[in-house]
Amino acid sequence: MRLLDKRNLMFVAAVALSACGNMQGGGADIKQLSTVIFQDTPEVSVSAQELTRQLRQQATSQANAHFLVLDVPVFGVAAPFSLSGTNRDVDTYLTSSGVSVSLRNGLLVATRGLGFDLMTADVTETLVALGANEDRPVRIHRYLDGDNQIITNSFVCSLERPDVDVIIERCVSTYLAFENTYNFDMNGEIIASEQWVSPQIGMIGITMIN
Amino acid sequence: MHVGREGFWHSRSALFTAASVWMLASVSLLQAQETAVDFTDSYNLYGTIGLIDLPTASSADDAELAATIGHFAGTTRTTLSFQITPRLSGSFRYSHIKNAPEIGGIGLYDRSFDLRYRLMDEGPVRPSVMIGLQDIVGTGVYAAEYIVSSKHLTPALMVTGGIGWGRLGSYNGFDNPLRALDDRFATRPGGTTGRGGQFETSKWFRGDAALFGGLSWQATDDLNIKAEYSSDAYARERSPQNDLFERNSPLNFGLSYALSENTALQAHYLYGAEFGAGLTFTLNPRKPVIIGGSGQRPTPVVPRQRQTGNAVAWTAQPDGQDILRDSMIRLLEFEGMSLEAMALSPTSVTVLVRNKTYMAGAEAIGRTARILTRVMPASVEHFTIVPVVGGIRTVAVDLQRSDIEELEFAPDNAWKSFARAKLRDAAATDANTVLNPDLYQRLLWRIGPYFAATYFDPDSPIRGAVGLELAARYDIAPGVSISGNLQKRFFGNIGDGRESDSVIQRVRTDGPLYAAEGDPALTQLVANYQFNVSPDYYARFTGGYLEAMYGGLSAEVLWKPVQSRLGIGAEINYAHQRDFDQLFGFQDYNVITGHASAYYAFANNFHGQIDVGRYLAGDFGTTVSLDREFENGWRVGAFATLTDVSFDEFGEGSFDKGLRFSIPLEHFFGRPSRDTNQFTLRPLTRDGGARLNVPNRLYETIRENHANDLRGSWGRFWR
Repeated sequence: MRLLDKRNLMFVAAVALSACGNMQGGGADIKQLSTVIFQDTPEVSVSAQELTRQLRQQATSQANAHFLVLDVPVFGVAAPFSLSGTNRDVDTYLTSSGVSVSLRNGLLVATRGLGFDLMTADVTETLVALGANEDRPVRIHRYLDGDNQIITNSFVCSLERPDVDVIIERCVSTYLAFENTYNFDMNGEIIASEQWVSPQIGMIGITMIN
Repeated sequence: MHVGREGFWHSRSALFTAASVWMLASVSLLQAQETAVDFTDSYNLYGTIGLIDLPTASSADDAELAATIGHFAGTTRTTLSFQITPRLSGSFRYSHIKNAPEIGGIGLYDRSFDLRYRLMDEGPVRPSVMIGLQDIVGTGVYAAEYIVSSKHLTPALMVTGGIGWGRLGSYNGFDNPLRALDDRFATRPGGTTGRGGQFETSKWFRGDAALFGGLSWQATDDLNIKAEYSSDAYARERSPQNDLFERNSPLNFGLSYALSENTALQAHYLYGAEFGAGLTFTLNPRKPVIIGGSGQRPTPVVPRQRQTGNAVAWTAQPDGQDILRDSMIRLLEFEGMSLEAMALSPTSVTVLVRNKTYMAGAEAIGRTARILTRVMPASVEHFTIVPVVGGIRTVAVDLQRSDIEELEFAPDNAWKSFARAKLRDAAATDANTVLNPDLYQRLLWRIGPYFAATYFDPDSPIRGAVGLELAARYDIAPGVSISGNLQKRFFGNIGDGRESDSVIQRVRTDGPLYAAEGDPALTQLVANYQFNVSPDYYARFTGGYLEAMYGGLSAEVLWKPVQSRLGIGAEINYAHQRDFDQLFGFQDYNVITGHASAYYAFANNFHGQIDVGRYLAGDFGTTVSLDREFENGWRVGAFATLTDVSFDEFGEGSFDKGLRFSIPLEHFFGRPSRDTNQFTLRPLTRDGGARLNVPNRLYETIRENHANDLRGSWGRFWR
């Protein structure tokens, strides 16, 4: 049977048509398979710093728009996020590509859409510690495990102030450790930071624009 | 003691010498190691955790699935192993042993099934102990029983020793120590019970026993080096029938190399005569590619602002309801859901939602709740969310908007939101719900490739087919639909099977004829009507071409309260055998079948089912199934059916049994999807205990939104 005989060609054409139709689901999804094989990765043309600079220029003319730049080194991607809304003291920023981060007074309390997301973070003690220069706050992070159960990681942290507007928070649990860096402005608000999300995502950089 | 050169390997002193040399070498090499390596258990040629041809007393990670192909000296073993619980593991093996060239023929194809149980864990001083039963069902080509023990002398070096019966008691054996308990332990009966396929309990731990042992050393993070002393004499393989190799030595040497986190390669030198190799693929249902999935972010909660003026002024607006409904439709579609219907009052809203995307019902409910906070006017405080599956209202979840607003970022919002949610039966939900017209009176269709396979035919252990499939569905109204499935095969030898030798009605064994002539095949064309009868009761009527081999009528009723772990159902069918060409014609055979079924979700994520009734061949009997289920959609289970068809009439295998798997595709892709791949592995397909494959059975439709399954995945409510 020659490789290009009629039956083979028909089948190849059929596979090319595959996942046609308006009904979702069922059977092998070739489109999903090809995405995994060919690894659709976004093109990274702009670095986080460049993005920050561009947005700062635009922002001066739009007083009401609130943005931040999120830098995710593990994916090699930086993107602008816009403020979607505020619930009590938590601001949620999101992109149209389906990722969101939630910040409580500048501290990361949730991510969605990254994969290996931080589901919730109890940073009450950390906030108190940042304000009152106290030591040894406890943080509690919650994540989903592979079986859809919520798992809890508790960290004991220590704060260090190497400079007047920089605080470094070092946190340790039984198996994990990380180091967050916060940069403050004159009003005592966090304008830039590097914060840890999860063991798989690692650190992300957050730069507030406006 | 004088030993000749040949006899040296066969003496016990050889064992000690070899072991000492090995240990000295290992210890000196170990001292050269700079950093500690994590000992990783690896698979052996039998497809279980072990050395080379022998087992160790280690278990795989809980829920690990491993497929191993191992080959040496004309023997090929393909094994699927599953760590059923942290201590209990099972294996299903399909092996081939070649005949000697002079004898010719296809050789021996054998199915075997193992169970292993770890009795004792390794501690600082004590070793781990495992008891194993190898090839416990059927002809027993590989039958062996053993008690094995392992201990880490150093973190990277493990020593294993054990005592074996059966095959593992055949080399350098001694009188069975268990004969002190009972004389019958001294000898092992031969032969097979009846038609095979039965548990040969009368042979276990009987006959001579022998010692075996070995060492395994984790040289690097990826490489494990092994040596063993095997008590398997390979009598069958060295008999004139097979004549596969010369057993020059009881010592085997080999290694296992991890090619990746999920793949390992084995290479061995066995019995002083042969090289062998193996490849293992592992998968763990509890370790998906992306934990939590890479699905897009949910709509954030929009908290209500403090109200001034008339909070219910919006109710006077003439098109207010339509605008709100359109917003709901749009926002739900954006997140992969559809609005079926909505009923709105000044202070409460009921939405019927179709979840097209998320495996966990809780995630669809949580996303819907957040969307409601964004769309609904401030006066609407009470949310009732009703997931609808196939037109059936599966549950009504009552949530308070204030709770959603309060809990969005609360650190322990998962269990708090579950505690505050009320789950109740949905049969009596608001009758004023207005239907979304776009969902119904529409034709949905899909063209895609399909793959099919049959296994374990000695003429061809795997037969396959690849082709194109057209699936279509027309939803007339909630719960009323017509659906069909057409297949056209492009490649495959799936139709080449043997003719059936069954002595009872050929209700399933004509499979090869259906596969051969069914091209193209209308595998299904049915009209289906299913609905909530009353609180806790559901019903279904289906008619048409129900499956590849049968058409007919099916009626089912199910009792399943939302909060109950137990469900009870009854189904009755009229089945008429279809023509082999799987088009519109029928043959003569027809039968009334039906079952009463009990379903039970155990607290430890095991799920049991018992069906009692009449099967396709007119036989009466019972099917028992037990599955280990995971909250992410994975299921691995086993079933067996005993009916009044005698083992003799059933034929080879004695009774119907098998393994079944359900694999969620999002495990591999990360993107949310409700697609699952379901398949059943039967060692043999015969005609006794055959059940009709009816589509749309009720329990599967409703169970995902009942309390047990919702609670299990409620962690995803805020995802």
